[in-house]
Amino acid sequence: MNDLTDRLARLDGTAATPADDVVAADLARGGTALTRRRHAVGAAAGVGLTLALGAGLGIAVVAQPDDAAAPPAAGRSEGRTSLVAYTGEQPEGFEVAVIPEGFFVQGSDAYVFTVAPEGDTSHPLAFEDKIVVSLEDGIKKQGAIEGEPVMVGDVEGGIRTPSDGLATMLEFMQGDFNVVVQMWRTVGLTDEELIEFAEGITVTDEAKVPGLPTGDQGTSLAELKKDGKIRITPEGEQRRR
Amino acid sequence: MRSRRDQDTAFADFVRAERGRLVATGRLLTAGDVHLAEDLVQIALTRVYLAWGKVRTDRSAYARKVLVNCFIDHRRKPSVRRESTIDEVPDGPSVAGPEALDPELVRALADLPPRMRAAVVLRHVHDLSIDETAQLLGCSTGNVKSQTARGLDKLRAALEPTPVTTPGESR
Repeated sequence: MNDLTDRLARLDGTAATPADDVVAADLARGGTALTRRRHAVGAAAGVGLTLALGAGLGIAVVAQPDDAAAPPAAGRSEGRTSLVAYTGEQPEGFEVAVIPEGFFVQGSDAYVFTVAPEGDTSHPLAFEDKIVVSLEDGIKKQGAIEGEPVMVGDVEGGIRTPSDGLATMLEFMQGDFNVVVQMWRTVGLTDEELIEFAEGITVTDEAKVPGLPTGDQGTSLAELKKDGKIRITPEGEQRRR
Repeated sequence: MRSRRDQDTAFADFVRAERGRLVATGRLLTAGDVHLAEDLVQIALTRVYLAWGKVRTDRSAYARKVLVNCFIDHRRKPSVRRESTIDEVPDGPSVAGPEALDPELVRALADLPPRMRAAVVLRHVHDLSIDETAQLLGCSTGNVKSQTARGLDKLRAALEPTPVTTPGESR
């Protein structure tokens, strides 16, 4: 044919066989999505939800029976969780006071910890359907917190939902750290509950910021993941088996 | 009736066989954006899992169609050039992809509009027929022909060596 189409054709055929943990992660994502879909269908049937589309107006109206009266709170995407006191092992670098009901602290290191729904067997550094709390260099970030201003305890923070709508981000300063909380929309906390969850987080002396020079030199999250250095909690480990 | 365990086993085999190809396609569609390609493949595979019972023939083609749809949907989002949520900690590229084979060409692909790039990749990298490409992109065969022709023209122009002129020649 010609040189260009030959060059394009040569781009084909670079398929590598995925590692077992990659296959397992794909399987887990599929399983979680299926379970979530079944729950959604079941819940819709159970409460008799009626979806009426305002033809021509583009408005969706959700009607429920009177005894289930409370309208969904702003910011709640799937509305299924409430916060409970956290009584499990504290993640390294953090102290956690409350977590969403039905969730557990899945894994942590001095830089980040993840809170996952019961039954989640994915890697602690896969963030879909979870809350992830990580740290940034607070000195660099000072005065540049993004989002709608909110108070987290007695400090000012910012809350925002990136345009892709996948998650809510809450940031606030604590000591030298900027704490970043990413909540996947399927977790379902309201903004107020997310702030309450954030207020229960204490960054301890063992915490570190990725990439920052520290006593033993900072390490990037990607390096930690590649090296498998993240510490999975006993609870998380049990669920992975 | 097949159990969930049977489905999981079959799906895992499918992932082993097809994931590499999907990632390679994703990397070309995204013009070498490894992280976005991985995200799109993960979403596509999740959708394949959800549709497993309904799609009983040629799941490979179905997966590729879902991947292309995910890519086009993603490009439509206004957030694409701004911030996006991450679902996993970013890694460096660990496996050599198509961009390593011909980086100049993949860079040139990046300058094509998304649908034009998808048409060129499906038609000339994966060697799909015009009909198959049209079906995947949900457009007419005429549209595929014009998109690929214009895409190839743009690539040729981008890859054409810039003539070197010396000061003496310009006079």
